[in-house]
Amino acid sequence: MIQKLIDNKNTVLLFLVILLVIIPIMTVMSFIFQPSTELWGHLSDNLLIDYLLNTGMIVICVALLTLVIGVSCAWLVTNFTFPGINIFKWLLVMPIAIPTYVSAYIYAGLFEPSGMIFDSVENYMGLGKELYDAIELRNIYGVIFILSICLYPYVYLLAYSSFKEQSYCALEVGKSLGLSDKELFSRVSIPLARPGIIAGVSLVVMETLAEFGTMDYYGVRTFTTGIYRTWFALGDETSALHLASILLTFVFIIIIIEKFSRGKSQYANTSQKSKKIKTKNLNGIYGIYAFFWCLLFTLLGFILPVTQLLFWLSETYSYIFEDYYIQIIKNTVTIATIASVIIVLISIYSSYINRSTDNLYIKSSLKIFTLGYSIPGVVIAVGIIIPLAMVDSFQARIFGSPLYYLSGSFFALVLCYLVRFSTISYNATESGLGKIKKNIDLTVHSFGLSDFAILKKVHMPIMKTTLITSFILVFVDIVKELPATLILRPFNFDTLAINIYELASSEQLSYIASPSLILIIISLIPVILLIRKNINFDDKDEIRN
Amino acid sequence: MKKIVLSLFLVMLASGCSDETNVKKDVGIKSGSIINEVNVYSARKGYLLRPLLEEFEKDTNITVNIISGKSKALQKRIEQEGSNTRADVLLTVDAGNLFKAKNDDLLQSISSTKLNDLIPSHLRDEDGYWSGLSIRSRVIMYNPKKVNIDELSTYEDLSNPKWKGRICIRSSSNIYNQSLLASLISHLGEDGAERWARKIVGNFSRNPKGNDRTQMTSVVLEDCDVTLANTYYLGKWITSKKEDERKYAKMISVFFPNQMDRGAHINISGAAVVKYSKNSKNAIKLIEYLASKKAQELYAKANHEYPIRENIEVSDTVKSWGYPFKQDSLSLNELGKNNTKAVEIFDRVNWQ
Repeated sequence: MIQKLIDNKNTVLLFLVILLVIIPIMTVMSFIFQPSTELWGHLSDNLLIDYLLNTGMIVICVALLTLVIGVSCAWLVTNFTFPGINIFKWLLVMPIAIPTYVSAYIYAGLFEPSGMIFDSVENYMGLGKELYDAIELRNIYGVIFILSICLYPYVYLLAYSSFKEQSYCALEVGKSLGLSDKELFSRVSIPLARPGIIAGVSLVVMETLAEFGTMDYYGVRTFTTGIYRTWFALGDETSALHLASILLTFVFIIIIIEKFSRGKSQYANTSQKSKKIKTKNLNGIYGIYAFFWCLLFTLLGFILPVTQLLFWLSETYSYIFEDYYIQIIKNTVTIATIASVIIVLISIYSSYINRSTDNLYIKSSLKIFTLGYSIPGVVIAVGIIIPLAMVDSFQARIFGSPLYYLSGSFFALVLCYLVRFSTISYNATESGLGKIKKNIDLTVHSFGLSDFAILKKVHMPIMKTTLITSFILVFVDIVKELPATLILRPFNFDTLAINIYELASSEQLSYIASPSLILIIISLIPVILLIRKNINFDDKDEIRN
Repeated sequence: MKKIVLSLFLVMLASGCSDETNVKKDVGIKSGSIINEVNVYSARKGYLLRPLLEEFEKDTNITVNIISGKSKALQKRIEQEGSNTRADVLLTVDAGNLFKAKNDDLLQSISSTKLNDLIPSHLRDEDGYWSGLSIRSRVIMYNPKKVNIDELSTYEDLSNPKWKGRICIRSSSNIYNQSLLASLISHLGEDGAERWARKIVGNFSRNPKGNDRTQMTSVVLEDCDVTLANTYYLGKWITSKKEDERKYAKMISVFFPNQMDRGAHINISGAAVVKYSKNSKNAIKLIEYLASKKAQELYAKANHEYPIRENIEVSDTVKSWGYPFKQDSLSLNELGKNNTKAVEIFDRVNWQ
């Protein structure tokens, strides 16, 4: 019966949604079938190896580093008690609020004159020049460092909730079989948490593949910077999109790995009613180790960058009071809120259809939602401008001039965010719905409720946390988004990210303090709300992608 | 739920906008020709322009709408929007970008006697497609502790082996370096320019990294003795709110090269009217306004650049380096024409 209802009523709507998302991606992909240009020969001879090696090395290193940092910290704070644990639980997530490009700007500045570290080394030891010579971040290692300390919270968050969800019984059984802490970790906890951890790492990998700002600023040649250079500087779309298609192949592989590991999770987490894990007190030297381990990453990822921003703010604070800032704060919050609500609604709706239908076409076309996250924002932006410009000229042919310009409209911007960020919320709503037994649907259907009524009255209340979580994750990502917003935004519509970019690119690093801090605060508020929810209701459904 | 989703879609699809009330009020209707406006795609930073544009709005009652971004991306957007673009004016930096926009058929030729009178002919397009609005000069900056001013003379001289291990310059992906080399292609010929670039690379103290400011810092910290940088970056240091930047500004000096022959390499920031502009009259008015005496005094000063026309006061900071100085009068179109050759040379001599 569900099948029938869906086929009749909802396919049209679903079709529209999928069409909206698929058009930009197909626009991009369509260039692949165009014959190679001369430049492509030059690229594949000289630069492709560079792109491959650099991108590969960055992705592998960042994945491994975030894995180690994220999982170890999550394991420590869920299973043990040690000094400062209650603060670390929070602080470890905070780097998620700092855009990677902002961290890149800050760290580049730290070791240069007017940077906090440089100044103190220079003033107290007179070794500024030596420091400046010794530390060089503008290279591939710098990129790996920045991305690792900025992105590990994704792994941490997902590992944290996986560890929290683990059945107390599983650990107890392990203990009674005489497993040590180490063995419990490697033979019980990690295998159980594996899907969550892999989901986290794959988010990190996709973010890394799509990252542009950090590589650009540090001058490292990767696929994204290569696509940008080929497309805009050399003006060769076809070659640029050939590069993009290679990038997309990587993404497919990662998605398949991630899906494969998630498939197993369905029977890994059967026992829902788990007692809270008893935490073990870490005494003495181990407690201190744990303390410093967590301190290191909160320091690098959050405390140090924010402190530097505060120092810069003390020199440039007067800018914060301009009317302009009030306007761009309003712009940032408004667009992020509207877009996030739309994206979450579309995600829950689509994942509901996905759950209720057996139609393979629908199921596979919904996979499109998991693609966008790893496509560089610039590429999506161009994929959006082209079809919208076509609609505009179609309008012009009918009405003389377009009634409503789609190019450079809010629609374009929201669509771009939808294509790029629905991955996060779709994964969340899909797994959230997965936790609700299908029997419930059938039972409620027998009361004669429609699909939407079921979704609204039954599923959405049960999944409240999931919905809030995905809203927040999308919201934070949109607030931080730069390259696509830069290209697509309407007239007179600046956001905090744009302002930061402008100031940084005119080499006025210290001036980025006020917009950056405001941006971090705006992203932090929902993140804090999110963590509080999860800590209070730690056995309910949580962020599980 | 159904209604919400449905209406959201209808709104998104039909009006092409995400939030009926707020957003439409702001932008939706402005696109009509009823409103007296001019739309600017700007590669110059919004905050530099804002005070000027507000003046213009007050004086003319023309509303200025602006989006800022990277020049190449904005040009791409104009290209893709085609005849339906809302862009009227392209404000950008570097003659190379303007040349490319003209070549890509994004611009229209205008004839403004005002602009022709005010702006020297080598600083605007020969066919009237674009016009310079301010001048920036890429000069030698050196550490007076390490370099005797008598050692300095020309760009060409920097390829002399006496500079081995003493020069730092930013990467060749930067358009300022590309334009400088493009000018040398015109003056020295392609082979001459390539020999020059190869020798410069041989004189590097380290591989190129960072921006102009990074190079200046390296000079101050004695990582290298000389660099090539745009003067306005020093202007920003001198007027910085940060004490150590002001301190560093005193530890580096400016030298205008080639004063005995063709003059120092210059480039421009400039403006052009977009081919499919719907408000081209207003667009011309805006560009003329930016070339006016009143605007020029502000426009150049805002970023410590040089005015495009003569007899305009420059700031004391700018004056302190020496003004007026002899400027290379090479037609800026040459910079655009030689850009690809320059990039190829950089690749061949492995200037990263």
